[in-house]
Amino acid sequence: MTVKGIATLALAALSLLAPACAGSAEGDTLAVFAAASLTDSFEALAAAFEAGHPGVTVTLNFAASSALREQILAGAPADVFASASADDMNRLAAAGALAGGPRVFARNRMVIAVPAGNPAGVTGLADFADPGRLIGLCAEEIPCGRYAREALASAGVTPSPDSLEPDVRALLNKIAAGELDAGIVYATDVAAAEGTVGTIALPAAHAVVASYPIAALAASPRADLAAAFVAFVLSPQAQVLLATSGFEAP
Amino acid sequence: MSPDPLPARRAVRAPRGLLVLAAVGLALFVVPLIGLLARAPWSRLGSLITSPVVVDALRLSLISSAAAAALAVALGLPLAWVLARLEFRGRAVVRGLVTLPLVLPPVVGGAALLLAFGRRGLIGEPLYEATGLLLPYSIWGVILANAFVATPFLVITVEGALRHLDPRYEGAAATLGARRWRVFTRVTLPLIAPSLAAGTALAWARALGEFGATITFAGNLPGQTQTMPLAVFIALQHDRDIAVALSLVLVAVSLAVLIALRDRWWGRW
Amino acid sequence: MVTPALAPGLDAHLVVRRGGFTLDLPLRIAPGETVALLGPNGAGKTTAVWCLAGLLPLAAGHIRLGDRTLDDPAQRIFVPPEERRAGVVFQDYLLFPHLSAAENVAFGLLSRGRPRREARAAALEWLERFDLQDLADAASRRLSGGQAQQVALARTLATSPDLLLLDEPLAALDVTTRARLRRSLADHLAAHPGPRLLITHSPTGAFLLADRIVILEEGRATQEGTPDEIRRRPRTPYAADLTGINLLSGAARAGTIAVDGGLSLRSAAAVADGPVLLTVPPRAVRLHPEGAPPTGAINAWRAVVAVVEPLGDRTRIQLAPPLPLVAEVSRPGPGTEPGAAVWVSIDPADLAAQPG
Repeated sequence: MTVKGIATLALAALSLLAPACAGSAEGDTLAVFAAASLTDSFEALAAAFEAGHPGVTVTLNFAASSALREQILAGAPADVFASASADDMNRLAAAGALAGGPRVFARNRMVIAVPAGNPAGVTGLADFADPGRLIGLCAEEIPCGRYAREALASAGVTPSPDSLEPDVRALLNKIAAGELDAGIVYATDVAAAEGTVGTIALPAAHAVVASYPIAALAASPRADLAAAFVAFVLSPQAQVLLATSGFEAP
Repeated sequence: MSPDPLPARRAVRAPRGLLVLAAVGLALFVVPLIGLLARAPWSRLGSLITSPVVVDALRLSLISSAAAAALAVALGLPLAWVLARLEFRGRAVVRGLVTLPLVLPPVVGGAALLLAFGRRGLIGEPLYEATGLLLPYSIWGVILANAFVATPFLVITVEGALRHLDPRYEGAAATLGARRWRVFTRVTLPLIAPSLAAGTALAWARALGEFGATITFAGNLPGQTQTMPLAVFIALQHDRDIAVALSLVLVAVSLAVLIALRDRWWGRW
Repeated sequence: MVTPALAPGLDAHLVVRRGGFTLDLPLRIAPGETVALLGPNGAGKTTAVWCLAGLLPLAAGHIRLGDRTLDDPAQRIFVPPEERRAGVVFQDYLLFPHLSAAENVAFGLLSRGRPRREARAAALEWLERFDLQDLADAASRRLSGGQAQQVALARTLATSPDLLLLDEPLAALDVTTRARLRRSLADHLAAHPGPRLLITHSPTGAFLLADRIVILEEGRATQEGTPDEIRRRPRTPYAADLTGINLLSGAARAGTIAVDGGLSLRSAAAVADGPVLLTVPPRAVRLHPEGAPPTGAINAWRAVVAVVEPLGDRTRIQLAPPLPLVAEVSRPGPGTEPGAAVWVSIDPADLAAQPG
C-alpha cells in the first residue's frame, strides 16, 4: 500500500462520513409513523415533500395510533409521529419522547359508514343497539374506537357490536364488502372509499371530531429534517391536500 | 431378549457439527421464551390472568381449537385416505390444493373464507338467505377459520402413515369376511393410530395459535370470537403487560397439553 | 362346518396381466383334494392366490366355487373378497399386530356377525386344537415363527372357508419346526372338507401334502399330475430339477434305516430312532453293470431297470420296485437298457435323512 493509496482511501472514507457529521439533507431517509386514517393523505404529502427536498426519501408506517405509540416507546426508529388522538401523543410527551411540543394539524369528523346502497336501512346511532344488524366498531383500545364510543355514549346508545376491528381500515373494508351493516369511521376514510360506502352524518349534538397532533421525536438523528417535515404538514400547501382528503382545518 | 447395554465408553457419538447446529436450533425456540419470562409482570400476573378478558379468551381458544381439531380429523382423515389409496386423475392437483393453506398467508386465507362464506360470499349469501345462518362473528366462524389452517397438517401426517401401511393387512381382513367399513375401523385405524394422534396434536396446536384468518373472517369480539392470539394482538397496542401475561398463559397451556400427549402417543410414533 | 357331501369344488381359469407378465392357469380342485402349485419365484403363484381370494380381479377367464361364480369379467361378475368364503394363510402370516393371538383368531368370526363372547370361545377352542391356549392373550407380535404360523392357520380355519388357500405356509420356518408343523398341517388339511390349494417352492412339502401337483412356470402350467407321476415323468428341466428327487420313507434304528424291499441303508447324517424321510438326488443314484459290482460301497444292492427316458440334456433311468428310484445320467452307459439287471449304489453322504 503506497502513501498515495492510503491517502485516497482516507479521503473516500471521510467523504462517506461527511453527510452524517453535517446532518445535511442529501440522500436521507425520514421515517414517519402515522395513524391509519392518514394513509392516503400522508402518501400524497410524502410525495410532495420529496419533490421539494431532492434526495430525501420518506418512509411511512401506518397503523393504529396506539400501536405506533407502543412501537415508539419500545424504541422503533421513527423521526415523526402523526397521531389520531391527543391521548397517545400525550403519553409520549410524558415519557419524554418528543423533540418539541405537538401541534394539531388537522381534525377528522366521525361519521357512520354503511355499504353502498345502505341495504340494512340504517338511519342513525340508535341502530347501533340493534342486535339484528351486523355492527362493527374499532376496538376500544384504538382512538377510532374511543371516539366512536364517545359519540354513542353522548346519544345514550349501548351498542351491540359483532366485531371490534383492530384498525379502522379493516373495519372500512368489511363495510365496503357488505359483511357489516354499519360502523363508525373517520370522514376521511369514507372519502377514500370512493363510493363503495355510504355516509350518514352524526347530528351536531353527538358529533365527535378528532384532533390530530404531529410532533418530531427526540430520538431522531435527523432533527432538522424531522422539524422540516412537521412544518411542511402545518403549511397551507399541505392543508389544501388534507382538505381534499376530507380533513377539517385544525 | 435384549442385548447387554453398551458400556458408556462405546455409546453412540454424534458428529460435533451436528450437536452445535442442534444447540443453535434449540436456542431459536428457547431464547424467545426466556425473553417472555424475563419481561413478565410477575407482580400483576395473578390479577391479570384472572381478569375476564383473559378468561374469556382462553375459554374461546380452548373450545374453538378442540372443535377445529375434531373437524380436521372428521374431514381430513377421509381426505388423507382418498389421497393415499385411490388412484385418480388430478390427484397431484388435489394434494396441492389441500396443502394450500400451509403456504397461504393466514390473512389471505381469512379474506378468501370471507369471499366464500361471508354474508355476501359465494356460498355464504345463499346460505344466509335460505337459513339465516351466518358464520362470521360467531364461534362457528372461528372454528372454520381454525380448521382451514389446521387440517392440512393432519392430512399430510395421516397420508404418510397410510402410504407406509402394508395394504395386505387390509386384504387379509377382507378375506376373513370383514366389510370395507369394518376393515377401516378395526384394522386400518388402529395401525395408523400413533400418526393420527400426532397429526391431531399438530392440527390442534396450529388452530390454537391461529390469528390472521380468525380476525379477518370471524372478527374480534371479546367473549364471542376473541381468542387468545387476538387478545394478545389487541393488548399489545395499549398494555404490554397484559399482552405478555396472555402470551405466557397460552405458552403454558400449549406446553401442558403437548407434553401430556407426548408420553401417550409420540413415544409410539 | 361344511359337510363333505355339500362342499363345493373349485373350477377356475385364471387370466391376469401385470406389467409384462401374463398368468394363464386353468385350475380344478375337487372338494377334499389338495393341489400344490409348484414353481420358481416370479412364476405367478402368489398372483394366483390373490386372484382366487378376490384381492386381484381377473382380466379374463372365470372362478367358480360350486354353483357360485366368484369372478367372470365377460359377464361382469365380481364377488369381493369379504363375500367369497375363501380363506388365505399368507406367506408372512399377516397377523394383525395390534391384536392378541385369540383376537386374531376371533377376527373372522366377529366380522361375520358372531357375538363377542361366542367368537372368543370359538377362538380359544381353535387355539386348544393347536395346543396354543396359553398364548391366547399374548401380543401377536411376540409369537415365534412357528406359533405365528399356527395362529394364522387357526385364524383362517375358524371361519370355515369353502376354499382354503395356503401361500408358502412353511417357508419362513427352520427345518425342525417345519417338519413338526408339516404333520400338523397335513392333519388340518385332511380335516377340511373343501378344495385346498397349497403354494410352495419346496418339493418335499408338495409331495407330502398334495394329492395333485401343478407346476407353474412363467405364468403357464407346464405339468400336472400326482406327485408320483411328476416325479417319475417330469416334462420340463425345471420340473426335473425340482421334483425329480427321490423320496423314501423308512424306519431308523441304531444308525441304520430299514426301507422297502428288506434293505438297510446308511446315511451320513445323524438320525434319531423312529420314522425318517430319505431323499437322494437322481444324480447320486449310481448304476453299475451287473458284471461289475461297486467295491467297498456301503449302500449297494441289485435292481432291474424299468424305463429309460431321454429328457433334453440328460437321461432318466427308472428302476423297478421294490425301490423304484430314479437315476439320472448324462448318457446311458452300457448294460442299462430296460429289463437289464444292474447294481445300484448310493454314497451315504448323498442320502439325506430328516425326521419323518
